[in-house]
Amino acid sequence: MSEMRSDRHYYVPPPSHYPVTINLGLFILALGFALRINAIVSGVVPILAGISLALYGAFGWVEKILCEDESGNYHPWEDRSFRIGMAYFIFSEVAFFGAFLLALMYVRAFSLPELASMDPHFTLWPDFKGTWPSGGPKSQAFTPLGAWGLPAVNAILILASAVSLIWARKGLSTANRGQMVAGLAIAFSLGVAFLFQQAMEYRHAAELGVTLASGVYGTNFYMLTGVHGVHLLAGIIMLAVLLLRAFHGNFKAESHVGLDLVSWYWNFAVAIPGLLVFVYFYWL
Amino acid sequence: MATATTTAVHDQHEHPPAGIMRWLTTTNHKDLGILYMSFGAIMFFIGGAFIVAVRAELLLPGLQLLSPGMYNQLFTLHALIMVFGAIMPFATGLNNYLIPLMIGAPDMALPRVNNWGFWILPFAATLLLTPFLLQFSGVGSGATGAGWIMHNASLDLQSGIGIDFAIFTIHLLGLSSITGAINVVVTVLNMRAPGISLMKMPLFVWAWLITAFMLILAMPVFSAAATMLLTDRHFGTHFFDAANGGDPILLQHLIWFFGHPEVYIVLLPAWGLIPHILATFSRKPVYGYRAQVYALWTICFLSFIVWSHHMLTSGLPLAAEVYFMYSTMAVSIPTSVLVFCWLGAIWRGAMTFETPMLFALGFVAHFGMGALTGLILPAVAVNAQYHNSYVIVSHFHYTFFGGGIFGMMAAAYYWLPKFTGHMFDEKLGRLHFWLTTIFFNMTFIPQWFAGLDGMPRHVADYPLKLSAANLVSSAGAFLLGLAQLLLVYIVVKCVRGGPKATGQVWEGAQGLEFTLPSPPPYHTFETPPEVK
Repeated sequence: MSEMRSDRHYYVPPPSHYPVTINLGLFILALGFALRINAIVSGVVPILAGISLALYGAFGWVEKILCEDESGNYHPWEDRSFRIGMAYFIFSEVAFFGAFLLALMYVRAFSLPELASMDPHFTLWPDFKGTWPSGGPKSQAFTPLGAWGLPAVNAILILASAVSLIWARKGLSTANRGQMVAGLAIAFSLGVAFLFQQAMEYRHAAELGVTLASGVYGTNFYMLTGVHGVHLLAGIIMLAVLLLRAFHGNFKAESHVGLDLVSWYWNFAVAIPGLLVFVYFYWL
Repeated sequence: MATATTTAVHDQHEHPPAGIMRWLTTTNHKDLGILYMSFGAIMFFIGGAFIVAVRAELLLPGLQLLSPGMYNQLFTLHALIMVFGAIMPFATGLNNYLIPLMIGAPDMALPRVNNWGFWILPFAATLLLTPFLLQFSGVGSGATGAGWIMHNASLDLQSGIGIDFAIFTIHLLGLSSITGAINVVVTVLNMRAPGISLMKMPLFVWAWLITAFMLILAMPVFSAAATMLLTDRHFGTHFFDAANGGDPILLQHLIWFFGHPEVYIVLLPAWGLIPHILATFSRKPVYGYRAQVYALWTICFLSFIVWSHHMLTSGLPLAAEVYFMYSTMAVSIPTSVLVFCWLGAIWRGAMTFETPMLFALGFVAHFGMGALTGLILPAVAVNAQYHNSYVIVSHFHYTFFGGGIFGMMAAAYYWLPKFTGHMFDEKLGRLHFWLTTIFFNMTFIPQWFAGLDGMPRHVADYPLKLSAANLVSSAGAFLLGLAQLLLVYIVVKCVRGGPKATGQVWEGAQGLEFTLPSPPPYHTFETPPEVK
């Protein structure tokens, strides 16, 4: 390690306007959103403008990183920075997701039993039962979602996509580019299929009467799967970028940090949370 | 501790763009450190101005100046600005400037991410203050008034646009803190010069590494809680709505799971830099290096399992209350290790009392008071009386101001000659210390007594029997605010000129950053130094 460091400079990128552009976009987005949900501003122009600006900044930044990568600015020392950074970024994403998962567990393990253990004559609303799944007074009756239909299929899809990414990585290290591209393509298609099925599941839930406002059940269902879905969508975009890069002949056996980072993200911030949603929301 | 045998310093980059574009687009850790620190200093005065208005209202019993709603906004903004706008950015600025110098790195590991993390902050601050300003033109009901941790937000006591702006502010701040923290972790783990093993790193670097771990785990939970609050308020979910099967206590759990580590996130950087300053002015090496590293880790671990001591009166089961009482008291063990190490550092040292040393000693004394009262507060029976009273206000100001701010001031004076290349006016610095110490205590000692006498927090009025205490406290707060203007004068004067500072700056100073000239060149350690 030490020889590697002393004979080379660490690549410090020149000044860049992309970070501050993203921030300006995020600021306009937040401002527009806050004003709109409070009906002070009625249009969606600021929201769209903010999103576009942030996306422009993000894509410009990523493009710059890819150019720097392909023009040989990054060496194992810089790659190690990206690896550590991604590991801790995933850690923070898992903490964010974990808060939603713990909220579900808290409701099931603490607040509902506690409400149920009160004076037997106490009732929050007619026919209140302190059991999971619990709706609310404002919701119509609903049927809880079963685990062994779409959700189980989705759990298998997400597991299979993680496996195919590992297979793609193996293709790279055995210099089998066809296997790498195929693995990436399979993982990407499985992710898209998951997203499509999730949309079907939402439609199914709406038919069963489960809405965002169906007490804590609907709340936890849509928020937990929604947070997971956003991470999934981000992962799909990353996989699409990987796929395009693979077609362009990027990634060598000795330089493939982008591939590794995305598969970590996919495995730990998309696949495992997806399984946890299946186990703790649908199954148990 | 570390001595550099070679410090290759040369400028291989073209010159940075001129004017405002230099600062907007910079990837240089020194530029960003200066930006962070300047931002922190500016917000320190804005947050201070808010609390001066609050203390003006509390000067006399009855309502004179502010409506209760405005009062709530002002103390809430004061807290949010001081924690997220002043102390944390200033500490981040110190890490940006100093960590690469202390570990012999050419820059932070992810320089563009570093820029990203800083330039969110001015936008976040603007977003937080937007509803406050909008109310004066008749739009909306003002900024959030739910307390810094949004405790009251779920109870429908706080409607209006302020909380939504605060929620988005928290999202932006979260992005800033997490990217900044990731950068610290990557820099420390990947950028150390050959020879600087983990257990040879300066304590400030250790403290920031641990702070970064805490930020990465705690901050996303805060963002998640804010997201749940947003959907509860506007999109029909029922996370915190008991009438629909949710639980308002869940909000408190989530927010204090962040909020308690946050206390240490604010304090750990100060704990890391105090040993350097004490050692320098005692002409002794850092005392108990390993013990302090282990104590910091222990505090990091404990900080995540004690959060409900903020909620002892919220109706937790008795077993939970007793658990959180004992776990909280356990924090005093590693904290005492730190305090005794600081005392060990000055024990029989050849001490001189320059301004940074005065602030460091003031830090030890004031933080000691805050910490000792913190040992009493989690006692369940005692907490029932003190909860939400001015005892709490005084307690956390002894830790945050007496600890955090005194620590940051000590650091500012200690490294100011390194940053600017000029010595500051020592006489004025000492005057600033003594005025700050006297008026700080004048502000907060009366609040212990007012709190013991039953004065509640977050209320714009108080009974007549508390008049004397509040009069003294308000007078102290005004004078404390005025005394800080002296700091501005000292810093501006020091930036503009003054006696040349040597590279070493302080006679007893140790560390890699003191092997460089003052101010250090724009790019440093482009080739890693050899450290023995």
